Amino acid sequence: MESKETVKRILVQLKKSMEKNLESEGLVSDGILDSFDIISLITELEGTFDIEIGPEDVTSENFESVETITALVEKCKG
Amino acid sequence: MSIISLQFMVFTAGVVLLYFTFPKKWQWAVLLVASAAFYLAGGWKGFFYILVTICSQYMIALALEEKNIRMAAEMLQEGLTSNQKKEIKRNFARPKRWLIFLSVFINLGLLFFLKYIDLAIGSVNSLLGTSVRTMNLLIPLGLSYYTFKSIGYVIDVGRGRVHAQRNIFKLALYVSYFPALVQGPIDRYEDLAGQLCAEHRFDYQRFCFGLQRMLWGYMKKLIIAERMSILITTIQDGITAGRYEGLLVVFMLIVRPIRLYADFSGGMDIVIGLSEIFGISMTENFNRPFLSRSIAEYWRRWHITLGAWMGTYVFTPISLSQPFKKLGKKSREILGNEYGKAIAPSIASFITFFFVGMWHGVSWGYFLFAIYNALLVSTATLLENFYTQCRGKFKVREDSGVFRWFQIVRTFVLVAISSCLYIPDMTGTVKAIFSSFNPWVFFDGTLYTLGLDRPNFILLVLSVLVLFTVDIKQEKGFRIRQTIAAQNIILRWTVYYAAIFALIIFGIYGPGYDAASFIYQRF
Repeated sequence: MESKETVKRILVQLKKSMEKNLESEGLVSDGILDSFDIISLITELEGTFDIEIGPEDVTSENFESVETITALVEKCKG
Repeated sequence: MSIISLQFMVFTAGVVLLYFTFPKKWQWAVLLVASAAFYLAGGWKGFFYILVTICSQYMIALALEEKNIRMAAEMLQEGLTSNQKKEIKRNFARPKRWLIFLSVFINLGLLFFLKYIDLAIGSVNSLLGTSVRTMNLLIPLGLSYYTFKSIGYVIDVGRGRVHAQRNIFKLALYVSYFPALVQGPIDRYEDLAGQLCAEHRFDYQRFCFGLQRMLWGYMKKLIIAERMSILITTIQDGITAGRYEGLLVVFMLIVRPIRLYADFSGGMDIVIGLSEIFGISMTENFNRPFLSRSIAEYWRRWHITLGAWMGTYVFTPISLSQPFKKLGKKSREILGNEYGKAIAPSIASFITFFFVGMWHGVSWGYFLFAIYNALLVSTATLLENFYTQCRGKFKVREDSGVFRWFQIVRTFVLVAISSCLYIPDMTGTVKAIFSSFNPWVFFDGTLYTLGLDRPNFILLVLSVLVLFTVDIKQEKGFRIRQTIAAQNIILRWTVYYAAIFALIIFGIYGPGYDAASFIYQRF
């Protein structure tokens, strides 16, 4: 729950337009997050949660919604 | 064997017949034999190179799989802390990286050697005044497509995303599947391999849909792309000879991207349609790119599988490498989040476009192409907030039709400029644009002297209108093949016959005319 709120905060900090898209389940497929945003997001997530996200984790499915991003963070936490 | 030849049509008809008459468990073997025959029809010399790729990637993938199994076994030990798990991962990461490097070195090395050795020798000769003989090596059919597919497969095995294929013949089928061999798409192993080896029943509707898709592809290629090629060649030759200038050159620059689209996407329709007949669903390579509202969107809709390949195996690993992460952090500290966040991905984007450019050819034009596209994509991110503010200030409604069409036309113009950068005589072409300004060339009959007479020219314009109308309809969710299939038999077959006769009557092919091979075939 805490991770999810942090993910939301990071997303909004990263991109103002995310405020109105936090509930979206098609962040990548609808073009809300592009590849540049995903790279910046990963850097922020790694710094905030002290995790390592590898290229193998960068799939569109992992970044489609706040829920999938949170799940990725939890997975990387081990 | 060209896929627009009668020979290919007879060949595929035979393969389809065998595919559905053989026992289902051997259907994949029929495709493998057909792929080998297709490859050998292009000459036996290239066969050696594709065998090197299949064998090397087969062995490297198995070695990676073995490392993955050992790593998983060690991770399963009880009582491991998360740091110990990370340590195990790190211990295995190094040898896995070396194996992937070996795969890339052998296969990309072979690709670069075959494609660029003569160019390198030529450059050395002209720089040093030497006269080293060029090697004139044969470039195997589909070299870059099967190389990219197989490297992607090995990296995915290394990442644990897919399991290594233990049957070398099944891997050979994935690498050499004949419809996709000539110009892609570059399907990922996880998307294609399972389907290739699965059993498929004959399905009449799927068969009809596949044929319709192939027919549409042939129409794009033979009715539109071939006519446009005549116009482009005439104007390009005319520029060199000093005959054409001004708006006629601009006209050619507008026609070029549309010709490329009709040619390449037409080829994809044939490949995807044929696969549909087999029951194999291939990844779409185009998603109506000329309806994109930005260059970044255009690159997501154009040659999708190459873009995805470059994104997955070039852009992302570079962006997430330690030096780039440090650069990203530093630039955000200095420039702030808004601008700093785009610096590292922009450089990674340039490197990616550089590879895309290199793949098309080695020249200053492609280098400019890389800089141009990377700049456009980066500035779109950098200036995103600025653009939003401007739209607010000028009260531009983002969802309005006028603004959407403005963005679409703007993107097309940017794409046309991009394709101008690697034109053979770019300086001469640009000079020719500004040499004169005579809009009357569009009304005084000059257009009918460019290799196409008036009826052919009008036919071309109408065909392009049909092409874009179909694109716009599909964009709005209209499903053309399903709609036709839902009509009564008379209407349905009227449409089919109209399409077949249009292709037979208006297609440019046959004796006395050498239809150009697909543009992307040579890559």
